[in-house]
Amino acid sequence: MSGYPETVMEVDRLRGGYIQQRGDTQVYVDAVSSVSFRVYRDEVLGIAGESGCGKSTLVKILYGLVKYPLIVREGSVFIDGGDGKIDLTKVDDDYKKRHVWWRIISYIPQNSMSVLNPLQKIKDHFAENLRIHMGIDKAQAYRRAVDYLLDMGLQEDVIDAYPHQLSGGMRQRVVIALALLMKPRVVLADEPTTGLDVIVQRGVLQNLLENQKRFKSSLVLVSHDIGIHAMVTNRLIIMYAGKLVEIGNTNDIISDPKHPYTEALIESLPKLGDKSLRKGLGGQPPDLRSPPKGCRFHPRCPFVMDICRSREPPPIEINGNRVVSCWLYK
Amino acid sequence: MIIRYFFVRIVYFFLTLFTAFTITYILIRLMPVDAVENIIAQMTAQGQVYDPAALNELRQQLREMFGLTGSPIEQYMRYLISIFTLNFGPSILSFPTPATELIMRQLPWTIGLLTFSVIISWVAGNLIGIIASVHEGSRVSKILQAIALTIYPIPYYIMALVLIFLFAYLIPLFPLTGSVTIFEEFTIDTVISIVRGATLPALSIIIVSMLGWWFLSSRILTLNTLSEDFVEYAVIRGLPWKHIFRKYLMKNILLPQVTALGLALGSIFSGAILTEAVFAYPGLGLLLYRAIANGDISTALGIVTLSIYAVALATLILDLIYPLIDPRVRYK
Amino acid sequence: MDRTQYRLRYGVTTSALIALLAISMLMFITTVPQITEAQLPLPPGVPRGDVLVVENHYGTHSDPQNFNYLVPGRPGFGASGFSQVCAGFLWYINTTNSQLISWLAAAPPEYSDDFKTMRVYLRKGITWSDGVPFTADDVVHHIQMIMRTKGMQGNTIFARWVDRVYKEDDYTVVFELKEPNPRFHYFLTVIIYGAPYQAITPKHVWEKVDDPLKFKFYPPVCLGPYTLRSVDPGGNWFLWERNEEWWGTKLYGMKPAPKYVLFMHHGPEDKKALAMARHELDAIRTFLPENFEIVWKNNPYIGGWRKEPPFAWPFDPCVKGVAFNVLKEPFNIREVRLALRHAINFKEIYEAFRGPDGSLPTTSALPVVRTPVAEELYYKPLMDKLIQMGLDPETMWWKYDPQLAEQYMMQAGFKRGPDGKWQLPNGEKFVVRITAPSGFEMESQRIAFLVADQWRRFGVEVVVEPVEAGVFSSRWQRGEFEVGAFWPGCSMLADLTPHIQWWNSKYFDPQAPNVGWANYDFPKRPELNRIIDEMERLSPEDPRVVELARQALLIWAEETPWLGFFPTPFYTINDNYVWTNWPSYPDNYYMDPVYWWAQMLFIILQLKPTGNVETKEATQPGKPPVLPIEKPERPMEKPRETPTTPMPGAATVTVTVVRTVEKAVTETVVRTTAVTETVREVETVTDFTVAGAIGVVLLIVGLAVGYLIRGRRT
Repeated sequence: MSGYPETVMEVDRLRGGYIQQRGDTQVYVDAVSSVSFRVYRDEVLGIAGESGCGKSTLVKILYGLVKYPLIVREGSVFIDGGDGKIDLTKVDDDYKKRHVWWRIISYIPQNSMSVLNPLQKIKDHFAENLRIHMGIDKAQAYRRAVDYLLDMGLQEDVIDAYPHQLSGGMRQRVVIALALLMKPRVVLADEPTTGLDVIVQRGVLQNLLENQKRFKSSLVLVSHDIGIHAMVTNRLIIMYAGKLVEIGNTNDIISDPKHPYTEALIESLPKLGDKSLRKGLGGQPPDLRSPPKGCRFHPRCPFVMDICRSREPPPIEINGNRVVSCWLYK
Repeated sequence: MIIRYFFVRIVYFFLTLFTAFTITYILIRLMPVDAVENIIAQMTAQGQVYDPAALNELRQQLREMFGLTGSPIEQYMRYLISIFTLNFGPSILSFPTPATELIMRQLPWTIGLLTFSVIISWVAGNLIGIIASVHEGSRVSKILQAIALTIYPIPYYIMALVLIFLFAYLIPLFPLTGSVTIFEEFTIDTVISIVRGATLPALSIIIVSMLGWWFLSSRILTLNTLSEDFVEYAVIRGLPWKHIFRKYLMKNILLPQVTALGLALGSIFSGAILTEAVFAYPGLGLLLYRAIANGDISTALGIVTLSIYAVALATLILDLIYPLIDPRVRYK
Repeated sequence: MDRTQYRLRYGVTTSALIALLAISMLMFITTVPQITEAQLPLPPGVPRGDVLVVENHYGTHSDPQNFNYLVPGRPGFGASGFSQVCAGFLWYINTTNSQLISWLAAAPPEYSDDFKTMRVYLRKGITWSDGVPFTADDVVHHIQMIMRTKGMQGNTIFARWVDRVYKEDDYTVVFELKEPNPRFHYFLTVIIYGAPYQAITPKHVWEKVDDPLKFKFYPPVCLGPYTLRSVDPGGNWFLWERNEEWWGTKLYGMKPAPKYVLFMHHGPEDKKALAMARHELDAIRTFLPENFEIVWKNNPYIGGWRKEPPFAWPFDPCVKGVAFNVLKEPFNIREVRLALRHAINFKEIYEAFRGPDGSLPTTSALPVVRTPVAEELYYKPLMDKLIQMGLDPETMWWKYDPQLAEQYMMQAGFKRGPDGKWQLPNGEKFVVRITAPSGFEMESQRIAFLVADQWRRFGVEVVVEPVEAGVFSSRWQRGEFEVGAFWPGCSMLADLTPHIQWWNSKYFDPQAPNVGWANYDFPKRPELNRIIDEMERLSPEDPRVVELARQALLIWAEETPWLGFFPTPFYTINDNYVWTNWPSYPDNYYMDPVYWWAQMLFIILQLKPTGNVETKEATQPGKPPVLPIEKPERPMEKPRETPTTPMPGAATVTVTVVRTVEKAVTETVVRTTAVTETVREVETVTDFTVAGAIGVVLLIVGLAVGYLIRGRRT
């Protein structure tokens, strides 16, 4: 924590979403709407929000996994591509496959239970990545794979096993290990603990953290569970209806939420010792095919003002580290 | 534990055999065809001069000769024994030539034609099915699909006749019938002649099953596999498409298809009756049909028994080797 | 390498493969000439002009290398060609005039006065195809072998009739019968099709056999003009080669023109039509009218019973129609049968069988095919009485008279229900079930449907049940039917005795009741039985036989146990492109077009090559197959001869083919015709090989190249 932290990824007014084909007409779902933020070296950045807020889509776009019907409308995702800054939204798949994916950025997808090839052993997965990315021969690749796995703390029997023989938690650890294989600079993890029981969750999170610290990489963690963010992340992004509504240090946000939505979110968390009924938010998140004018949260906001209904609030900086998109702070 | 797995499978094998044999036996014996009456009718249908009293006596003689006497239980017991000895007694189609001999004579033709056709249509069908699905949306894929959908509903008989008309009549590349080989000396000419005679029958089978079942099933499998999470994950990991195709797609697609191939090969022992009838090509299908139509129980049972063995064996073999190729089944 | 590049690679490889395939196909098409000899199973170098191709009408034989036709259940021996070109028979009937042809026998049979002894004289000098002489020993052994082998075809016949059979000398056989039978020789005469036990077997081959039922007799030893050259192991064709040492050539100058005869099954009838349109089939038993049309439109060289249309043969021996099961109610009631008889508008059924070439069937209201001979002997003399009984002289069938039918039904106690449909006397609806064939004898199926329509119009509910051959015969024999499209009335000889003797109750078998006519009890039953008993006692050429037959037919007409319409026209088509001089009515009517009967021999012996196609060893035919009658001059007790002159009362219609010669002909005339034609060497096979080999090599090279390019990229 010395001086200004190095930026490893910069997202600039990113806009992307899905094309829905209804017969002859095409409808665009605005899933990620003008999102901007930075990712610093050696940090854990969380992205929180309810289902459908666009966080998974955002992460896909960050990785560069943009396949129809998902498109990027405008904006950029800048990373350091080895020889200068590149905009991930502007390069083709081939380039990404060869230079970016797994080497600079890694991705841990949402459904880690089923992402391993059921007909391949665990070590095969690692070996093939090593062969492809490092161009070494099979024997060498296998040796390195086994070494790596042992190094990561996985037993021999796991290494030689098939995916269906492992528990959910173990599979998750394997996927994490795979993501870190080439020591990427950024690891994007989409809901890495969903579907696991609490004990295993804790283990997986610890695993993620340890490795992040070890390799000094940046971890972007997506989860709807604030509790996890509280445990693990340094900074936190709150998303609502495709918009980035608040970003700041995790502790600050939790103790002092600024945006009305964030407030409601924090309020809804169970507190130790407090047995009173949790307050929820009324209403539903908006339909992103035709989002409401102005601030997208205004239909549900208890502090709604006239300006909220007509104009979108810009990102407003509050004391250096915090940025909120809300007219309350103008 | 492995031994237990094997043992259980083999026990099932024998149980299946027994059930299948019994059911088949009952069905065939229930046929309303009387072999003796058939023969008498054949002799008199031409309007020949015959001696009515002599004819009646002949009936008795034939009944004894063909072994159509004895209680049902006795006959069933005899049948069970014949399953193991593979001696089904004399045929009626060609008394007293043993049924086994008749079957053995047709067997090589059936095996030759159908093994070849099944394998080729399997390979070709899977190939174009996979290609069409991998390039889903492209022009090639659309054309292949259109062709398949057009040819699939065409009844086999029509397809066979069309082929005959086009390639044996209009452009006489191939002989009108499948049996144009004269076997006096076994030279290269004989082999070529056999191949020429078998080409149209094989082609008809290949076209119909390649563009029918194998194409459609491999298409579904491929499309399903392509949308699997682990395939997408492999793409995410930056693995090249060729690698994904080989290690992720093909293995998953071919596994069920190899099973289906095994079963298809097992079922060739019942012959291909339409093919044999239309192309005048020798084989077990027509023999089975003749046997049933004439009430030749021995031959019919012989062929069906053979077929049951083949299918049950194919299933057993697949069951036994499956753990070797699919790790998910391995440790049950 | 990503997906787009992979796609490109795949596209290139696929296009390459398609291109190779196209090139190979082109090479095929250009190198394989359109010559038909390449399409028939012939020894190498044999041109089309040397071969006569006849239909194997049975289809695929399950056990083709088995020429023992004495075992019951064997497919017809006229399907493989055995009866036509290899077998030897004592006598044949000339179908055109009912005359007896003496073939292996030198003369008609000689009966003793009491018809208990029959003497057969054999021709001298006949040899088997392996050189061994044919003598009385063969005939005696043949009969004795059949008599002692239970289950063999003919066993029950000879065991029942023959007391002793022995030879008097090398060329004379004597049969001593258990009972008098003036027609015993019919059992050894080819009348319709021929029976396997009539083909004399060689003693020197069969005496060595342990179990005659198991013996395969392969290859067969022949008395006919051909020997077996090759058999399709798949059971579809049989190739016979001319025997240059045949006794017929040496002794009588007969020689068949075709060097080879091929009996072949091409597949479903559609394919046979294609084959004939392409001159790959010379003679066929019958076509469905649709397929006949295809051949007619595409092949201008065809002929049938006549040279010009109408082509169909109208004298198939069996009269088709529908038969009642007279032992089942209500068909045991005479009035019901007569009612149903007059409820039929015969004209409609007749017209339905008008062929595309104008062929018409021969209406035969009696169970005798109305040939010119039968017309003179039976139809004309009985016409008045038949008209009284209800025959319509215009259509020559029973008149269409719904009112009369109505009356008959009422007489039987039937009533019309409120819906206009007929009811049984007990009030139940009258439903008729007609059993029809399916998959064979489709003409009879058609008849069944036509009759059903007619009866429905009359107010009877009818259900037609088409069934497969096996079930059809079973039901017929076992009498498990109400009405069936069966054909109980077949005839060929002018002497009707063998065709109607089964009408006598003594022949009824309760286990195989058939149509039940033999056991049907009606007022004139004793009379009918008596008539037949007497017919059996008389010699075939006794004029009283005809008189008695007429009486029997009248009794039959009174009871009408079945309705016979006509023998369905047989499109017995032949192709005159390669072979000509087929029999034709009336200019060249030496035989009926019975290619699948043993009498085909007489046709084959007279065919001529046309010269339209290449020949190599085909010749012109030898002398016509007219053999002299040779009887040894010896004193005997008044032998009873069966004369070869036409039967009394039928002189006006017979076309005599058999000429009677008193003296034995001893000289043989050998005619040789040198056929010098160059045969174009057909190198089709080699071209095929070369094209195929190149195609395969290119394919492999293409695949290898593709693989190498792809392999580099990893």
